[in-house]
Amino acid sequence: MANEILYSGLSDQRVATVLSDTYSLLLADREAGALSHPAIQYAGAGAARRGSTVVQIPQIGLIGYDLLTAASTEGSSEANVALTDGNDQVTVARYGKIYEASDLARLTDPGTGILDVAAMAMDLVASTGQTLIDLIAALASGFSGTVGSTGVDLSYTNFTDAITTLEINKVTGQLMSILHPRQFGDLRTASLSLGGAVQHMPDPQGLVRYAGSLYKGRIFGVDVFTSSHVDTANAGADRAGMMIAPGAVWWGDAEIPAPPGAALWVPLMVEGKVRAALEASRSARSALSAWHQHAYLGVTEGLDAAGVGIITDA
Amino acid sequence: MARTLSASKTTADPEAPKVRRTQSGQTGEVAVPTVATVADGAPLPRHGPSAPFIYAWHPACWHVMAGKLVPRLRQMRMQPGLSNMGESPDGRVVTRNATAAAADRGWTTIAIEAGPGGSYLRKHKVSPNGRSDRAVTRWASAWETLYSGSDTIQSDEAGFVAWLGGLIDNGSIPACPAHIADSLALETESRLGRLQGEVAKGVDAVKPHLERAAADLAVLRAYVSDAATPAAGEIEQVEVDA
Repeated sequence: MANEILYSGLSDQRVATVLSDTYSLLLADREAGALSHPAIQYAGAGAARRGSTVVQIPQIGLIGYDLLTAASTEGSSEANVALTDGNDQVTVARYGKIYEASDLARLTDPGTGILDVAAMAMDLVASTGQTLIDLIAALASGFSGTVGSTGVDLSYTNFTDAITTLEINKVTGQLMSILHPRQFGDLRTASLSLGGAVQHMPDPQGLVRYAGSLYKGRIFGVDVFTSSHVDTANAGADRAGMMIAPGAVWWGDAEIPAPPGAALWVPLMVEGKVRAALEASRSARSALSAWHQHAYLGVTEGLDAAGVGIITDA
Repeated sequence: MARTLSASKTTADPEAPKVRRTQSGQTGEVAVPTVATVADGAPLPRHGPSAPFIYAWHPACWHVMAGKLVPRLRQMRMQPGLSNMGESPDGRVVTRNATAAAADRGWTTIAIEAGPGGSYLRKHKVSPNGRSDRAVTRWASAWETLYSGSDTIQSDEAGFVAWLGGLIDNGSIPACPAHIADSLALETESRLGRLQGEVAKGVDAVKPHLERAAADLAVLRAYVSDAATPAAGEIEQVEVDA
């Protein structure tokens, strides 16, 4: 026999590889549900139309902050009480990212849509949310109250100590905790050896299950999220997670006015609250098209006593 | 992955034996074929980018680390938009407002130049996936070691603690007030008691915590006993109508 048509002989008729109809996303934190938690409070919009990039949140000692004082003598004149006040400030700064593709890169796009407006919008939403979470997580080592021991795994004792610290500090409202996955893993491991009444509670039992999301559940009434953005502390020996109540963390953003003459301007919202915008531009001379991602973000610590750092082994 | 293509010419080894020709044929010369070599180099440490930071200490924030009572430092990341860090028109980070706001809360910054070798920061070339063509900059402390192709961070805790001890010795950071150490000792003692109770109930998982709490308590008690007697308050009569 001769002249069989073989794949190995059809080098002019076949290509070395074909692109799959789907693709695999590289691993990254993408959920930003933590931003919707009531413990993370919105300070307001800076920059556009309000005269400053700094948003000031007044603190005021009213509605029960000072007790009434007993009158000294009948008919005497009472002294004034000083009004305790202060402020926190969020400075909003510009954040962004640009992807620029040549016409050749775009025209060979097989249709998986990685360079189109929908993909870029999804990328912007996820990136903005994670950037804000990264900024919030960086505040953990700034709380003067902490629990945990350097070089020792996070335990339930540390976790409940953090709740107690916040309660002693008179916080109200729903608590949340942002932990590094290593810290959460240590807590899950600790669940395996819980005794007493706690072992029968659904909270730690739920923890042992793989949740498949960054929201891990509610433990002793505290909503627990994980984030790989949680920083190291103590020269890399530890991770600095946190537990916070409303008032501990403030964030701000800005509404960016649509630029006149923009080829494409897409305002977006992350978690229904964080503003960002996607813009397209074209450099005809070099046949390059760019997607510009814009967001103006700022984060600051608020009431120091409303937050506790959870600093445990990395 | 960054691939450096380089071609090497085929060269005969000068030390190789001479070609021996015989009437029946030839054995050929010793040679290595020319190939394009791919030099990937060692993968970078697998980490994401991070901004430089300033260390700050607080008079009430202390902990036991590597057997010493040292200040628990805050890391103030130098990133615009974070804790009032700003940006100058030429792109440099403006720390003024951030350090002032931190000072209002009791935090005192430590000059970066106070670190070993003139800085307590080290700049690393890293990549989230290890690939050198996706290199980004990660700032870390001088006591952190990163490894090629790994996300492991090795911490020189003893070196870090020695540096902190040096800052206390040279007066840059005042020594821990005795009442803070005493308060930490009481907290640790309470924790130790709870942990002992758990171990007694057979919860062996807390044994490392127990051992650590006992060691920390010994350090704190020794510190308190060595510390000076605290100043007593002023005596003043409270006027009462008995």
